[in-house]
Amino acid sequence: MTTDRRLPVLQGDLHPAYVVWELTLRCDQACRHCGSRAGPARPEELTTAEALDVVSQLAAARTREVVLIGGEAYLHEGFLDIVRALRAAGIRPTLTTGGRAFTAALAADCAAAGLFSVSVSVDGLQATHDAVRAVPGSFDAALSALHNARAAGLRIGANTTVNRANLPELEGLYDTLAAAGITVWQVQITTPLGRAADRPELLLQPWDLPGLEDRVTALKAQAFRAGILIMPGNNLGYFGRGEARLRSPSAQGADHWLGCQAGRYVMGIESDGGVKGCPSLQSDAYIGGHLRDRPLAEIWNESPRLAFARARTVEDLWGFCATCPFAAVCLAGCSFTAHALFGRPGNNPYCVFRAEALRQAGQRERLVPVSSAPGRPFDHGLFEIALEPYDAPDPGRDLSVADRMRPRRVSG
Amino acid sequence: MNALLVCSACGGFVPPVVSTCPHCAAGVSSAPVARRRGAGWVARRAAVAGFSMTLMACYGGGPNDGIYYTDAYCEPGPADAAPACETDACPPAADASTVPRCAPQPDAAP
Repeated sequence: MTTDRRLPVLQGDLHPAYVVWELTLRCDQACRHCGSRAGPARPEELTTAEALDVVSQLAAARTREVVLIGGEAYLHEGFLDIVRALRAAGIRPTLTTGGRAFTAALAADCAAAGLFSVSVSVDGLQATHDAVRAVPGSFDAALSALHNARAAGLRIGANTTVNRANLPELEGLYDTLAAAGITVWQVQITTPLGRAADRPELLLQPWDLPGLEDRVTALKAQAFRAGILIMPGNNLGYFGRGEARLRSPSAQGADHWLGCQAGRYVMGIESDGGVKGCPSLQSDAYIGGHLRDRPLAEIWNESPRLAFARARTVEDLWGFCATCPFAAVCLAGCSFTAHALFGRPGNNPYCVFRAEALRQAGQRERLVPVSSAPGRPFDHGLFEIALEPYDAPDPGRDLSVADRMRPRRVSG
Repeated sequence: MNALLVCSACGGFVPPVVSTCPHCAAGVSSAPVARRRGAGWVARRAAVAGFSMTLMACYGGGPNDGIYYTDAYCEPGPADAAPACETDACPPAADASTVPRCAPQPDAAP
């Protein structure tokens, strides 16, 4: 079984090759942008025995890699057993973590269990990261986690969700992470999901995207020379002039966004066994079944909620995306991002090409919150798009980090 | 899926259904234009842009295979042949001292 992260997409053999699995929603931090509102465990999380059976089902489904997440995956009592089982099943086990309790001892245990790599979430330089994570010392703990993982022989990387609080710090953050020895950095944008939906001042505006792409691609070129790969998360893009440089895993690649792969080659599992096409998708709308009720293969193959991206066409698009020249291949970018804004996919203003096209016409789109999220894991509010002159005032530009962390309710 | 073209003026991707580049408005010729990559680059590279993708997901970490994704990994072969790694994924190098299958060998002429 291959564990390759590259996939020839024309083969049409849809299966959950890449799975992100929330082992527990229990968490040792209370991040202010957490999409799953992690903290206490879910009421009926899978036991270790149940999780080990899921591993068998994933192997049968030809899963190549499983990213263990939470909350904090290491807080699940069966964490190491599950890592061992994944490895024994030929599935690459990796971990995404905030790193607060990722001690040297835990790192050694993870390495012994066969964990392949660790990606530590770092969301800014020290003051900003600690404000986002709502835990003083969180930044230092994250860097310690990187150190501990590397010392234990694990491959290390970082992941960052970009928003208006940390946008000024990208280059400094890269320098810090490079010095820590990372070999890969995943960069995506903060989407109004969960606690991030409660903080609209934290979010990027669509016209921030072209500049962000320029900066990420410049850092990426620099990073290649240092042996570091910077890759965009799926909600960062699309089809700006730098798309190939942004999307490709090599310096001269010609990759581009190929549409949402939720339920095509990607799958998410929630800690109580809920299955959806992607880990970020809104639970209420996209959970297709539960592993205590139905086998994984049956949910994957038969649930309409897992299949929404398999037959998507331009007919499913609306707004700007419906008439975009890239509509047929892009299909409105990241589904959960669009859904988080409007309650349905198919129109996504977080788009480099779209923002550039509007700028050339002297315009830009402002996202205006109109109703707040109800307060459940993976929930969202609603936004409207306000079309305005490109040089309109932006009073939100100079807010302090503390102001951006403050929740704001909007009644719809 | 129709392959995207590459604009010779600005380097941006161009859908095959348009006659001008949506980024810079330059005219788009009927023939695909390759992205230059040094000597021996294959013209039909642009025609198969997007043939493969990297599996990604939010909450996941980027691919951490190390040398697998370096610039030296998928160097093209002779000018009239597609790079081997264009049609199938080259296996990762066993360790840092192993030259990937597609890369020029140390003693080969540039």
